Amino acid sequence: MKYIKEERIKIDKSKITKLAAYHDPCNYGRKAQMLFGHGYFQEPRWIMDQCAEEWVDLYPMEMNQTCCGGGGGTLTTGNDEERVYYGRKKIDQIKASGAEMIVVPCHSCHGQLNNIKKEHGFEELEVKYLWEIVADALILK
Amino acid sequence: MTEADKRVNLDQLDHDSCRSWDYSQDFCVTCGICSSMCPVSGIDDFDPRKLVRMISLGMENEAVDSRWPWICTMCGKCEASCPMEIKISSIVRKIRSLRERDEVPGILHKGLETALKTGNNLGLPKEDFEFILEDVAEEIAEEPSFENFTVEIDKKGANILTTIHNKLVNTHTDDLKHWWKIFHAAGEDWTVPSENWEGTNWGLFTGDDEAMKKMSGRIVDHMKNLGAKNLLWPE
Amino acid sequence: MALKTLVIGNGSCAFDIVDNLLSKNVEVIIATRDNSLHQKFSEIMGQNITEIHTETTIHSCTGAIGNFTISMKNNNKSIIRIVDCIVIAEDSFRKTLFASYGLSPSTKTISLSDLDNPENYKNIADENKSFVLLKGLKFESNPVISKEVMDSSIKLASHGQSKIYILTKNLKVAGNRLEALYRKAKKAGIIFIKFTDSEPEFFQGEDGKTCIEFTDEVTKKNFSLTPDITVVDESIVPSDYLETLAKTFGLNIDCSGFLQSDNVHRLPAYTNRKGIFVAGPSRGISSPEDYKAEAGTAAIAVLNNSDKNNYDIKDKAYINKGGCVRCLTCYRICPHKTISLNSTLSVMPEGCEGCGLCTAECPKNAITIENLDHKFLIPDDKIQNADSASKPRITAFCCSRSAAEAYKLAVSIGLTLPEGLKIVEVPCAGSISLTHILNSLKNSTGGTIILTCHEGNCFSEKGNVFAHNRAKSVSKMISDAGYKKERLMTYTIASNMGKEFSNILNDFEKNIIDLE
Repeated sequence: MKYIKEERIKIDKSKITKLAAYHDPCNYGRKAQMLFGHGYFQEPRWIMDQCAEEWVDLYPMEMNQTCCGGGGGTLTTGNDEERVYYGRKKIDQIKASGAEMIVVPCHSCHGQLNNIKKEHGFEELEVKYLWEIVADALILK
Repeated sequence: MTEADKRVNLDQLDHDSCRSWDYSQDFCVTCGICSSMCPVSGIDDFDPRKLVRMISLGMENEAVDSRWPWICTMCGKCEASCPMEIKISSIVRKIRSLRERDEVPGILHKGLETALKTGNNLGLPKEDFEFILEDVAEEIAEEPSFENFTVEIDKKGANILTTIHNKLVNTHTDDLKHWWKIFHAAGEDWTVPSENWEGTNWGLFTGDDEAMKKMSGRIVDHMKNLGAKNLLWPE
Repeated sequence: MALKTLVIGNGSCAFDIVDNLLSKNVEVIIATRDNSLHQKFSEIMGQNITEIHTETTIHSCTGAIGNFTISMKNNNKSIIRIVDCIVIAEDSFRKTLFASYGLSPSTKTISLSDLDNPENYKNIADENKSFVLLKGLKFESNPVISKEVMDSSIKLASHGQSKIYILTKNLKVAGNRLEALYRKAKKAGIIFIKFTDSEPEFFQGEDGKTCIEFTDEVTKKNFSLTPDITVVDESIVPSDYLETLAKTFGLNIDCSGFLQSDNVHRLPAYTNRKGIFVAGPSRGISSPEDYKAEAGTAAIAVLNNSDKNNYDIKDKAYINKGGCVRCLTCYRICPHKTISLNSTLSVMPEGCEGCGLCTAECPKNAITIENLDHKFLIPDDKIQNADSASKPRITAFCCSRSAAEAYKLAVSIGLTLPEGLKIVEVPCAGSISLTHILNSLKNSTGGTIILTCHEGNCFSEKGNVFAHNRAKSVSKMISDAGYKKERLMTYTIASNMGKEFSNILNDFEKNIIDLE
């Protein structure tokens, strides 16, 4: 964020061509708000604004954002059937937003969404890290 | 077995067994808002309200032995919606911590043990780690505009120290490149530690506070030893 | 001359009222059915001229405010007194609910009052370890009972008891600091078991102990409980004396049998009769603190009548002796019980509210109320011809307490109203007689609309209902006669509904134009 504000890096919005949606990870948003009194809701959205001409929010969002289903270590506990099942709501939510790309700043969410999109018939969905779209949109000197 | 045989005599339970837990579980009004918010509700007959109720009645052992705390995604929606401000996700974590360590499902505890021993969840030796990083750096350097890109490991006095998620040096090495490219474009002075570089802290998931402290402590040590000014911990 | 007041009651609320009134130099007569508070009352007697009649019941009451003649009976002895005001504060009853749970009282299965009884309490709390308190499982309990159950449980917990269970249906904690009490109970370690879809089963052993089996609705697990003591809740019901008093004084009762109808105009201490007030456990179920406050309110209501020069003695309604056939319709219908039954029937002006219900109902048209003669109210043909408006002429009967105010509001905020609108303000919609409606239909080119208070909100209790019923019967008559029944409509409205008033009238006008 600091880099973009100080113009240490420059961004070309036209490089992001797919309609993106942003997902708040439970730990960065809701739980940070509850534990530390500040949830990172606005900061990533500001970065989204810098990187894409147009992007959408999912509904519900921020404190009420739907869980991707991959948190709490469920990616590694072996309860895969359940984990895939939890993700159905997330995928429905992304489908409803009309987005072709979902941007997340969390490794668990990233892994989970990539893992389940096929089961829920949304294989064409592109899952990107927040920093990945920054890197994608960089103007290189 | 008949229905009556399965009946538990309620006044034989020790309702005080969990009363020292400071999560307000006794204030539950069984409204069920948490259950309606929970992504896991309905699976294996689980819902957060039941779990809170069981803890409040003192049915600790049943909760610890069940799969429920482990199928929870710890997303915290239950807690965010609770009108009585019961710390439901802390309860889940507490119950996870009460499970015998070798009964912790999946690779969570094994990975954590490996990390405590070797510095990362994979048990990846230092040489292999450095090799992978440099390999990825070379790949970046082959791209236009990144010709002179290098990764400086264990550099002292760097502005930013970054940790690495184990999957990025395992199956997803390409995903290492995004941050590095941003650093490069911004002309950032950055580094990666060669040992104990693991950013993921599975103590959070297994409810193991000691391990969590140790893992975080290592990162603090890095900051001190390498004299880095800022930490990037993208977990 | 001092204000003379009869206080009927036997409990602490009655005592508080007497205490309050005496402090303001009101002359008080006390009539109690029993003598439970005799001692307490005696202590404050003597300061003022005060009479106390114990074991005395009310036999009859005639007259109106400022001049009630009360006949009381004490062991076949008759006592007659004349008073200005009357206050009723008879204690309510506790009804134990053992039977509804299929339990019988024993040393191990006790009522809430048994537990709270200070004489037994220590023994019960010392000798027993686990307690189950039942609350509202069969009948929804009043918050007062909820409070008592939680208070008792907390008391037991502070006595060192660790196994205390409250079995309840929905625990409603709105108001009266109940939520704070609930939190306190939770903190004290009391376990609440809530039943919404299921009920526990009760089994009573020969030793009188109760065993309870149930499925916890949250965990869906089957549990049983065999507490040392099971405490059965109680319900609070009005004293059976209230029914007699209601008949004697002609008072309306509410849906649970308390002496104040469910009508907002009766709050806080009023009844349907001027000069008769009701407080505390005769009025409804509240906490002891609220009863104390109500005792004060009732005393203030009495004191408001101190100045007898302010009594409204102007004739609002009078019965034409030549026309009256003593059919007693007016006596039956008067919501304020202010028709006097002497050699000739007459209206007692002090008690009359001028609502006109009697006028509308009198089969001989023998009762007149000022400004309510249909001849004055309804535009006749001449006026109608003089009115050159091309729009349909609409007559709107408006209750002065609601619709007339809504009309004024609509005008003052500049809302559009039909051009041909003629407002007829009546004291109560119940005063609109069949003659009024028929004359209006005869003389209006457009239609007639009747706007009353909402149901349950009529100062005359049922005036609005009468108006709607009459309109319904006229509606039937005119449609049988081939006249469009859409020309007569009824609506309910409140005084703050100016916008709705305008909407109703404009829609009505539009429908009338469509008919033509």
